[in-house]
Amino acid sequence: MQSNQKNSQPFKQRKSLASRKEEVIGIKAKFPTKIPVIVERYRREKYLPLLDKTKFLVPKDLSMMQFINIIRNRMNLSATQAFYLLVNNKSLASMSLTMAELYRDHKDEDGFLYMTYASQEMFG
Amino acid sequence: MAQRVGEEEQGASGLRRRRSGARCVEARERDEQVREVQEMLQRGLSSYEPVLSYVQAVLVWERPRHSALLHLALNAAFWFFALTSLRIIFLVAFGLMIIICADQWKNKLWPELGAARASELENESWGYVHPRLLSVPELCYHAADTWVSVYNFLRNLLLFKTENPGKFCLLACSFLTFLAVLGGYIPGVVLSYLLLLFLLLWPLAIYHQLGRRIYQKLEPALQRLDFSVRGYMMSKYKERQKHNRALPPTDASDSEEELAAFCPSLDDSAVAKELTISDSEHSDAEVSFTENGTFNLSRGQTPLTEGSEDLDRHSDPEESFARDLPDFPSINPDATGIEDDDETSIGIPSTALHPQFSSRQLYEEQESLDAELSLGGFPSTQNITENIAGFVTRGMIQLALAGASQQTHAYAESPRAKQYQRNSSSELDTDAEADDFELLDQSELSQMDPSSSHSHQ
Repeated sequence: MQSNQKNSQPFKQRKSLASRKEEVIGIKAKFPTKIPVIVERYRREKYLPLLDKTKFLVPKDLSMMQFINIIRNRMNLSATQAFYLLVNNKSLASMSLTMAELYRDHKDEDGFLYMTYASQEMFG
Repeated sequence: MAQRVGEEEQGASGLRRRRSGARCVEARERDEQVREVQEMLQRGLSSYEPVLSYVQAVLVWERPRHSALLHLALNAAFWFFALTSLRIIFLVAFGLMIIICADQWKNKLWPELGAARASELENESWGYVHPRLLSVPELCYHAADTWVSVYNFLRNLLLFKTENPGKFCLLACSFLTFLAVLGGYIPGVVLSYLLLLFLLLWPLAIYHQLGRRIYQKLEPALQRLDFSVRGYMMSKYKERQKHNRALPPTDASDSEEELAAFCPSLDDSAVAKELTISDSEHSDAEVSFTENGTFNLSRGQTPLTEGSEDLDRHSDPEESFARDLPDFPSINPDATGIEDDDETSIGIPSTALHPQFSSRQLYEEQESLDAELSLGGFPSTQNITENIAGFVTRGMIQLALAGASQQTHAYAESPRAKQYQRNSSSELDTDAEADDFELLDQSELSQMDPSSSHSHQ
């Protein structure tokens, strides 16, 4: 019950900006070659299961395609299941971009890169 | 029963939805079992993700130094246990003692320290993404899958034993005899060392996709066998078709050497590789055929005609293009009223269009003049004729200029277009073939006009 409540709220609202910044600084000091990414389910998503983790440490040279495949495998999705990963909850990133490029262009003010996954690319 | 159904309904989520409805109940039950075991495992293992990914990295030699150390240590331990004179009970008891102490230390003493525990908690919530290693959920899924498979196998074995004990006895005895013979000839130490080596090297083989590489090496040979038979059949078939069609006899110079010049000499592996790719393309074409309903399979035939049927391959698309040419809207200028420049771009021989053009231009000009007249102006008849003559000459000049500018396009396509018109009448009777190439004209057109290909899609 508690975990449900916890997961229904986006990561940004669960923690304050200061604590998020602190976390990013800490994890970057620990893993300088990795990028902190927040991957959350779109809040009206019905088909895709929840991920077991929210925060991910991603290598910089990983391409978006590889990252999507990894997330898909993590959720144990079949090949026919549609899956879209949206950056900053609004844009579909190009598959060939590396995570470093994506991070440079789309990172949040707290230092995380926010992504949302959904089974449909159109919302609303 | 009802309770189980209720449980299934409760457990329904995305995992269930993506299953096809035609699967039987047993498969669903199995999936349920796998998911239950997976969730249980995941709950236990989710905090060990860094450790697990580290172990995987060591096993696949991503950290060579650590991997070498691990191999050394395991070898040393193995030979220590193999050659030691210590009794087995002593070893088991000693090992259990160490495990209990470590467990107590981790669960009772670390929470006392506090600070370390907090940082670890913080660490736990991070998921580690590695491009080639398995994540914890995947590991759990595979483990659960294996577990359920083994469990089902044992259950079926027990069922088999109760239902026909004689067969079971025979089977078990033969299997155990095989093991006994194996154990009699090869010492246990060697067997267990081989087992250890296998366990150590198996992840490495999977990581480097050894199986697939070996298969890729072997595939050309296998494909060659397949291809030779099928290629032979196809060549026979095509030959017969050629005879039936009764093509005009070719020159003596045309026959063997010239054709050989067109057929590149291919080595087996290249042929096999190309064939595999074309096979997959073929299936793609099939898929798109079923999905759009409009796409045709003509692409899939290209690999079969490859090399041997160059002439055939060139003529077929042209025929199909010519067949549909009258239906194409921009061909018929009087019906559609498209501007002059568009028409020349399609590559129709310009000589055939000259009279049409001038007459149409005349007609249009006449219309505009009529409009002028009706508007109240009163130009003299001489003026009109001068205008007409001027417009006609201007139109001719424009046409000539346009033809000259598009000479390069028209040069390539006009003879083909002529051929289309010639072929269209003779080839209309072969309905089956014409059906095969219904959509190739689309691709042809989009090739001709790359800017419009986007709008087609």
